[in-house]
Amino acid sequence: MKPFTELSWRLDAAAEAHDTRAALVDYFRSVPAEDAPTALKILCGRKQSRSISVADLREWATEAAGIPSWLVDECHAHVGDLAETLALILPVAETPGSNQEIPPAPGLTAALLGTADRLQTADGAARKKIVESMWRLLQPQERVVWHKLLCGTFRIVVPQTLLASALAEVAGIDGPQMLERLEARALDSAADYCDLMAPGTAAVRRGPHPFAAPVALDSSIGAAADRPDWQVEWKWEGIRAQVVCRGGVALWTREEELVSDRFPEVVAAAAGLPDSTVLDGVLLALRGSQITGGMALPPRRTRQTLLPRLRSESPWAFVAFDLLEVGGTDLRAEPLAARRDALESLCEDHGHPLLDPLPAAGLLPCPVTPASRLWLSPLLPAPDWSAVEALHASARDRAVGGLVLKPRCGAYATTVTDQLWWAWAVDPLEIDAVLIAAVAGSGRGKRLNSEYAFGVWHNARLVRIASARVGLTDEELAEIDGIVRATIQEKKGPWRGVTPTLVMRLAFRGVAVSTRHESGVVVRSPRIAIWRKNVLPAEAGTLDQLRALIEPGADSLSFQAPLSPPDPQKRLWDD
Amino acid sequence: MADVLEVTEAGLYCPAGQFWIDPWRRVPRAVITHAHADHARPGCDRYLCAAPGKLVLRSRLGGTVPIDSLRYGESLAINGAHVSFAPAGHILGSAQVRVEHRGTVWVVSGDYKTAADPTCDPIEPVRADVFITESTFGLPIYRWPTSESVAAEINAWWRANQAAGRTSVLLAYSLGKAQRLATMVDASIGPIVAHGSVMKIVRAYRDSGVRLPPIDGVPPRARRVGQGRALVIAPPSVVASAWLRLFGEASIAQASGWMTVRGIRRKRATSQAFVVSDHADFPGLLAVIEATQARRVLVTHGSSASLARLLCQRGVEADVLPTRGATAAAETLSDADHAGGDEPDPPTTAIDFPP
Repeated sequence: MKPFTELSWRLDAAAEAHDTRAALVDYFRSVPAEDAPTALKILCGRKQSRSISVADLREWATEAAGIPSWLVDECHAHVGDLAETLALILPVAETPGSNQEIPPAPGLTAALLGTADRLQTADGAARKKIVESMWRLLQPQERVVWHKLLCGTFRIVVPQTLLASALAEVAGIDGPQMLERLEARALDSAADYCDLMAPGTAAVRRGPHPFAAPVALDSSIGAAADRPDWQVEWKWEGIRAQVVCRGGVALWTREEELVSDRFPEVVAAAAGLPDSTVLDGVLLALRGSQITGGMALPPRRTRQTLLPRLRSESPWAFVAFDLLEVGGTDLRAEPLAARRDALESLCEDHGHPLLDPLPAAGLLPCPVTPASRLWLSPLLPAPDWSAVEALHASARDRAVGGLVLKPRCGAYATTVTDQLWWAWAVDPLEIDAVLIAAVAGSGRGKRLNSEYAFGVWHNARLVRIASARVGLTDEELAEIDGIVRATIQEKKGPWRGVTPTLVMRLAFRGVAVSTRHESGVVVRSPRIAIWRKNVLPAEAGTLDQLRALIEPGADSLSFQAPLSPPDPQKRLWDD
Repeated sequence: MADVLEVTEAGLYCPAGQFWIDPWRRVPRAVITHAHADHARPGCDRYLCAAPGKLVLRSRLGGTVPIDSLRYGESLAINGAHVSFAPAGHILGSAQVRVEHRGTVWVVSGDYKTAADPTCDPIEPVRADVFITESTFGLPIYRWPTSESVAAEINAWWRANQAAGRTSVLLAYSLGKAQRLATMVDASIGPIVAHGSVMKIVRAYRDSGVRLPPIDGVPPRARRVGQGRALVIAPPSVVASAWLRLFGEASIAQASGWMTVRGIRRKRATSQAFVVSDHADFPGLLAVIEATQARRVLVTHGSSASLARLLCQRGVEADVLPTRGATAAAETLSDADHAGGDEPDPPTTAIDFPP
């Protein structure tokens, strides 16, 4: 447990990618082969199983520490993290030096998978014994990590490319090759790990290529404006995927999920492509002859069985914007301009049409025939930066998510280089909303009412539209808590309904019609933009204003939460 | 019967003896537990402190204000109240104040620790009827590692930095913690350099007869000092200041009891942290409170409400003593007042909400 604990704390303290990488290299230089696969799975953010409940852990730790339960609560509020609190209150571990009978601390695999297996077959009292015996062997910092792993709440995830780059240095091979191996191979045993680290040739690739991910363009707009060689495309709102033709057509999402059987119409459309061809693009949902925006993706990927009704009501298509491999030739090192030429001629040869880059207004019309569900993403005419800005400004009306800017000379970059793609998302929508209720937060914000429900006016009363908790400073939270306490009207459990006095400006990515919400609309990714101290509640927004912001096309389809890749944001340890 | 001590506008007051203990306003007669800025404020007419701490207090207050002193254990009658000092183990000259009036004994702990510290006398618990205790770290999550294990960690960090050509900058409070750290580390690894505010106290410590390893100040107009080799001890206020540029590429570490908690470490945003405190940890607080055999305990400063509640459940009559700094809000303010950053371990974390 100790080397992995040290790694976790170093990753947690790392300020820059350089520090993260150095910590990973140090760890994998010395890690025993049996622990490495477990560590890799954890660091990649693979789904963790929960072998024990937090409530059990808390009860047993409180008992072992010999302190009252309320004091554990006090400590939790102070520390802000339950797993850490419990680790700190437990009796100090015995050190191997002081007593010869104590076995050495277990390795990561033994501590995690070994304990999980034993816990699975044990019942109440025996489970408690197993946990207690491990506590005796672990130092407080090791316990924090162990608690989180056991409860499935460990949240330090390293970007795949960084992990591959560190492993490549340890193994003495190059980064992209390691990335391919990492993605192509199973990692279940020490032997798998030895294979992974073996010097030699690249693995035979079966799945998708690593995805190039655009980086959000925010503060660097100025720098982007100076570069003349951009290829500008719409940022399509859908499911990012690769069409992989290798003895049959497979559809892989960016989360490395094989979804071919969910989208048979797309698979059929791609059937004519030559073997050993890989296209990068986005799966788009259609309605009539139009593309729907990101607010209204009809359910498809998550369905167990694909009902005929779902197929006919909401067909999907694939828009290709890059060609990674054709006829067995890997094009990823070629400049974008060359890949684009190859993509265009491939689409022309196989009758896949080019979408209209600039439809008049509203939604992008597109030709939908059963035969063709595979299109070529158009390049946008952007002779200078002001044209790019004009395109960006019109993006929301066209139901796309913004723009993607790609350097024409760049290779298909999956590691950090200066050839990255930039995503320039549409500006968020905003509305002034009234705080109508608050709930106490947990852990760190435990003593404050720090989670809020917001409403807007409709027929002279406030209708709830969203809940939000982020966007305020600690000082503002404390101030709002005071106001909430002074204006409580009703209490239902932790819920505190208040007299409307506070107005906040909410920023959000979009609005859609909903049948599940009282207001009839659902707001996507709301956050608090600013506390509008000089606005009276009566001056806040109305439901009609919010409805006017509903994305074209998002008004009659049932809502599905937007798909997003696993959060690369590490350091989310809070429970 | 009236209490021996009571809380007034200006601080803890003894009506019988007409003096204040660690007053926070200007008063005619101040009895001082130790020289940290939140306990020893300037502007009083006359001060009384324990003899080993007289030079340190003088360097803090400056000027010619009268400072009387008593050896540990020596008693002084002030208007019928008997005052004496016992070592508190916090910093050089830190004392618990014992006040006896008409057979009743009150003891004010000031700040104290139970861990060993070669720069000051170890704490001697005093039997008391009423014990007023600090509770800065009054939660069971706070349990200090041994000085030896922390010293080994710091030495290893210093050596690793030297190997990588980095200067080691250790942030600690100028009075007490900085000097204690200098005695903890292995001075044979390299030169120890200290910030001016630390050097001022180092001189007062040496003048008081405390043995410290060789420590260099930073000469005026120096452009490079100890780069890549030295251990630099400086107050936390130097972070992001031009002064740090003297040392070239540096690894910055924080030494404080608060570093036990990951969230607070992250907030302070230094790459390294060591758990070293001049306050008692939770078991230390409980041990000292028990040793006083006090029938009544008044808890102040820090996690006072939790500690008082726990003591009550264990059958001791305990209360929170509301003094200035009893709430987190007030503490944050008073920290801002002393921007010099010489406060002992201020809990300026946003996690500390008022109860």
